[in-house]
Amino acid sequence: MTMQKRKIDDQELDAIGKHLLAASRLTEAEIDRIASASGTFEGVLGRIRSAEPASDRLRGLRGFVLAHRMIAGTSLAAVLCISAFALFLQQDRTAHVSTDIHTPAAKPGEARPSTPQVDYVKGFTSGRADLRPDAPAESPTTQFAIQRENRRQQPRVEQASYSPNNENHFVAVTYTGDGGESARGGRVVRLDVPRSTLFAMGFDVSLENDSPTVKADLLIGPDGVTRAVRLVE
Amino acid sequence: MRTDSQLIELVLDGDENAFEQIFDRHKRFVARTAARYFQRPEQIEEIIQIAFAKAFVELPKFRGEHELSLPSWLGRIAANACLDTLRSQKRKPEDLQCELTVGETDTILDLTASTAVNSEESLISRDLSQKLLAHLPEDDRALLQMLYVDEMSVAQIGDLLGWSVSKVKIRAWRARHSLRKVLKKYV
Repeated sequence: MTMQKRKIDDQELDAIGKHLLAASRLTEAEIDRIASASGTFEGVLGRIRSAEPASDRLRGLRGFVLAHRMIAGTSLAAVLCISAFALFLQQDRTAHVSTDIHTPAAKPGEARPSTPQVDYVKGFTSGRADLRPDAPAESPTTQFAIQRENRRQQPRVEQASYSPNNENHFVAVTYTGDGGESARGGRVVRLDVPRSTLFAMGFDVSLENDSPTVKADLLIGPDGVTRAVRLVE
Repeated sequence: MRTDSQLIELVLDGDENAFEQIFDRHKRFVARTAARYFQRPEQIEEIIQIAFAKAFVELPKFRGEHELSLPSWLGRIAANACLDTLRSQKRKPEDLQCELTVGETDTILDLTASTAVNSEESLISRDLSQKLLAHLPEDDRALLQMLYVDEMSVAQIGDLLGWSVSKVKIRAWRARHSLRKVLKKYV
């Protein structure tokens, strides 16, 4: 038996649909009977009583979650404040150090005044030092801060005693711009410089030796460029 | 006879009998709302219980904060309870949809065409109609019942369900479209 579908337009479909909807619904008498069933109100009261402890528990849970959120928020705020304060202190110290870095000015024609200590760097570096020639006069505390800051920024820097009785003299490196700039200040660092580099700079060093490097003092100008070199060994 | 507002005041003061009076006064309205979504008596009874229990808990918020009358407010709670129940049923479907036989389809068409129906025909018609309309989403069916059978206006439906007029119109259009699809498939 095959099903033959009729062609029905939308209006007819709507009419059938309305009829089906009306037919499928419960009658008023049936609804009354369901609504008036015994025990319905007791069921309502039972649901209310079971809902109340649940809502209390929910309220307690909400309080617990809220308290946890408050603790987490406060902790986060504290961490942020501490971080911001530490960052501020660090920036302040950096600014203080960079402002106060100062080396005694060398007068033109005179030997550069000796500094109490020289940074001793293992390996050759051409990095620019952070120097401010026009900074105010330093105090011992400031110098200590400078040295500490230098140690922090250059972990490989060691403190080495500087011998002012060294017989060698600084030899100017002529290709490094205005030599008069070094009169405004500078810095002496001791490095292990490769022999080949010194040879290329015009120093008379033997290229064949046990040690591939030679200790040398570098006079670094305020702009961070090497002005002069002095052999130590 | 006390008004709804007076009864609410008494309920808020802890009078359980006042709440029973509210229940007795509006239970048919809530049942009628639930009957648009469900056909089984136990389902309707459950919706009545859920709706009134929720109304009792939320009653302090009703006082002075809602512009709706108490029946409208209860109707909205019942409708939302129905929709929540339908959603949970969709997650764990229990009702199986049955296909209509050719004979049943013909019977539907015959009963649709006839105007005078006796009680037996009415029962057959309802059974087959429910079987056919089971292919329609319950919320669509309820919406079409409100529109076609209860002849509620779009604004009234919007008030009952808490929807805007445009949302009711859009949902009604979709429901009509779904009904036509079902009828085209089976009739």
